[in-house]
Amino acid sequence: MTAKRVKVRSVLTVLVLAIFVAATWALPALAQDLFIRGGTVITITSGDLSDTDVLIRDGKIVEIGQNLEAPEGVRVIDARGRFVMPGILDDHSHMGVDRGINEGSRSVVPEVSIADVIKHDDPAFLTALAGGITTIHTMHGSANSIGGQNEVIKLKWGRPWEELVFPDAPVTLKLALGENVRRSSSDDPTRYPRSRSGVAEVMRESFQQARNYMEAWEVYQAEKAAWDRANRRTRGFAPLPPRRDLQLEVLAGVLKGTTIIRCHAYRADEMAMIMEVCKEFDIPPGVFEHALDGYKIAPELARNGWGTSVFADSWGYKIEAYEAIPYKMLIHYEHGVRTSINSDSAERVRRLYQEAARGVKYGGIPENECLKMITINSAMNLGIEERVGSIEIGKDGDIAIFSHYPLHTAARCEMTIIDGEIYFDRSETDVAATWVIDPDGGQDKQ
Amino acid sequence: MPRPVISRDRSMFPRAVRLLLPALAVVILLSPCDVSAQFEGRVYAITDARLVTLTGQVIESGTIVLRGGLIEALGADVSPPADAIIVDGEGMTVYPGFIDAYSQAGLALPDRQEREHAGNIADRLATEYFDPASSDLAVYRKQGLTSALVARSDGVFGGRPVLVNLMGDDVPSMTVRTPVVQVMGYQGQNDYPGTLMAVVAYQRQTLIDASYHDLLQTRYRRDPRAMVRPPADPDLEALIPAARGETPFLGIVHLENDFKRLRSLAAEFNLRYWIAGAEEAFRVPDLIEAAGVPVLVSLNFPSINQVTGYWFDRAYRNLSEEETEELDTRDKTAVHSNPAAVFRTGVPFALATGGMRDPGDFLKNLRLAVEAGLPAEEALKALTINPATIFGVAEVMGTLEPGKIANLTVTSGDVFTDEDAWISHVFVDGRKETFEAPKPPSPGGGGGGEAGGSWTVTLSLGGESTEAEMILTQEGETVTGELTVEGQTIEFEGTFRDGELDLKGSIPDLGAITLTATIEGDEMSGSLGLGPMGNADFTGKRNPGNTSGERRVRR
Repeated sequence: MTAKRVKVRSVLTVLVLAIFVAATWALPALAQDLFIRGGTVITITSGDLSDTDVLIRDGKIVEIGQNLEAPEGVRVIDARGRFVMPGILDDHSHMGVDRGINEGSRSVVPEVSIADVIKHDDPAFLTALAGGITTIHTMHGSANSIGGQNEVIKLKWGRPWEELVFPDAPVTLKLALGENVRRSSSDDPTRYPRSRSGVAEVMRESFQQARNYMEAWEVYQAEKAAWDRANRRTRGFAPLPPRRDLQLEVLAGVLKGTTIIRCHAYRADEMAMIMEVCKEFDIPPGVFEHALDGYKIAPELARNGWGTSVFADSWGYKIEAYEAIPYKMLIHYEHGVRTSINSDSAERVRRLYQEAARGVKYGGIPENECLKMITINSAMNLGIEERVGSIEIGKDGDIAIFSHYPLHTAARCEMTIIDGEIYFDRSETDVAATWVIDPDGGQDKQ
Repeated sequence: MPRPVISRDRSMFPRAVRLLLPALAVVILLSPCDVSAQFEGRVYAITDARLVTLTGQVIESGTIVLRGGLIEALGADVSPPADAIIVDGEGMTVYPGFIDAYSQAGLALPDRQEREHAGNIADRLATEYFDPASSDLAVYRKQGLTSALVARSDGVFGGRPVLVNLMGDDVPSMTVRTPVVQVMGYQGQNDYPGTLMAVVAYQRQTLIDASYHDLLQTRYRRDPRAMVRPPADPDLEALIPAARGETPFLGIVHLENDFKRLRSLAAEFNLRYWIAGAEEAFRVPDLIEAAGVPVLVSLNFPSINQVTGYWFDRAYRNLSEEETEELDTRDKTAVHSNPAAVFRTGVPFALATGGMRDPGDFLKNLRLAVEAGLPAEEALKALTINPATIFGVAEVMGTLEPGKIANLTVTSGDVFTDEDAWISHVFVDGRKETFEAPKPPSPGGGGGGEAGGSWTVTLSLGGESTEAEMILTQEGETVTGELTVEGQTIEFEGTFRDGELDLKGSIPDLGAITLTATIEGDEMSGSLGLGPMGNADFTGKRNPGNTSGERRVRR
């Protein structure tokens, strides 16, 4: 494309955009338009605003303010006396995965991807929606040193799975350490590695292979370029490309820093180990999942830029969980470690806001900081904070409306909105239905 | 990096046999003398029958002559030759032999745990696992099926399907054609790939490897001195034409999302494909139509709570019993209308048994499909000329014409609409098999025995199994029952009809559960539907000398 054409095109784009923006105001109301009137808006990033309206058009938040006028035809939700917060994110979940979350046959399986196996009609989505959840990070299990790729989805119940996928969220890769990886409770514990040092070795070997792989492709591309330039008569056969290897391609993404590491970790020494391995390979810091002993190395986590995604107060359920403390969120917060609170469960996901309230109980973390741990921090852990995690103009119209302040004992979610559409409305829902959902659906915990 | 362990444990002998058999078959087929030896003595004439030729007008009363395994003549004015065995076709209808377009008929595979790894067995023919003497085949023939495209369904790249005739002495003589398709399924293996996500990754990597193998081999053939010879890999090699997009894959898809997975993989790698199974095609008819690919649609009707989207209309809704029943009826009809939905898309389609728990239900399900909107004449085509055309054998199968293979399905009554109709004969390669008219159902009871009595059942859920006791009391078609599992008793009530038990009950905190089973004599097999928790399959045996029902089983 010539420079001139590029310019013409970009001018055109701007023009089209301008017309489009103008048009959205004049257009009749769409399904993804909503006007939420008069609630206490918990923006997360810029304080709480009382008696404030939020206007969502075409799925995006376009206006926040007092005494706004609802555009004609746009559905109005009366939120007076209620609390309007951004849709909650659960950044460690295993819901909505079809036919297995652990490819346990091998210890290194980065080529597998949750994106290929989303089960969009998992009824657990509804329980999550009833707890104000709008986005989940549904993950590969922790049976492998290097597990599969995870997927960020919105809980658009009733829609085909393609519409659930969070567009352009960075690729995240599950890594795991400790008892699960060593298969310490496996019936057939023959798989390498069987020790914590073995896990470190597997990580190093895998990343080294990925580095070699990238080099092999660079060499090939150089040879190919030379061959392309060479005289047609003298050049002979084109150089052979290396074999494409999907495992190593994903690991190369980690080395390039485009893929975020999400590492299941309990013990401080293992977290320190992984931070070392990542430094050796110039891998940018990722997120430790659970990080039960993270409080012991909070300064190191902060210094190295690693985030965490934790249980609010689970501990003692296995040997490596014995030294966990509920004050870890406080310690992380005080040391500036970015921390989110996750459910890891189709049951706990219903009440993540209560999990966040434990931050207040254990050491008195400021309330808004607790709410960050289930909204913007989770979004930052996933690299999607430009889109979700707070109520700001331009962000996705993902909203949870609560009866009380979300950390209040009596709080319950009344309505859950994704991209300006209502996916849960307590007044229209039979929450005391005659059936209940198997909380964990037989899936692995932690 | 470890590669999937693929068993290549083939001793020299079977390998040699495998290579020689087609050659032998050719020798046999080319020798007219041997042909007559093989099909000797079989001259039949079916007289005064209604002949549905599928080439034009139905011959309301005519004669069809079969000789040496082929159709010799047919027509209203044809007289039976002197050497023919006469079959009185009065009141009977003769169709071209029904073709089961995707089937596991006669496949004899070891138990799952002992089975070889079927990640990539693309070089294998399904007939390597086919047992011509299997008693299974009679079940298929009794449903009027005279040929089947047999395919392994337990693999990822599960080998090449083969079109076989369903009666004969050995694989070479029963083989009709090896269609140029490669099975691609979504079945996890005992080791890698175990999960669905790994199966998809494995599909991708294997397709990449097949293309790379192609590249290396092409290069090596052009200049063998320029490189080390690429390692031999018959399974990768067998995938090359399909990986190049020259021949289609046969994608075995059950759920809506399986189809979408296949579709996006095909777009990613530029593949051609057919689909088999397709039980949820009715959920995505537009996508099927846009794909425009042949669909070998199974008459397996999954229970509605197994169908994608079951919870969309039910979860968290305060439904009354009537509303629930209405929804259930709607969904059941939708499942039955799946073949009709495929027909309406306009893609080439054929009917199949693949995936059915009991292929003996084929005709029953066929009637349900017709009832739910599949025109009977389209159903007939989907059993005859459509699959013959899709498989490239329309020259020799699919219609009644002289010179075609003597595969016939002979019915008494209209099997497409009438539940009292039955298959009276099938002819396969000119060999006759005759079936008795089904016995009328015993008055007041089911057609397949009695449900009433005390049963010991073995339930399996999540890999574990437990024994339970079931007491059933039957009055006419109404059945009440108690199932006692680990001290807890669940009460049921419902019906027993045609050997099918269909009960409903409830468990505190879990809500409605269903119990469905098939009873044959003193055996039952079925499934407990536990709502969102899934299904628990079970098998049961009648406890001897302890029937609470009034009648003993007549056998």
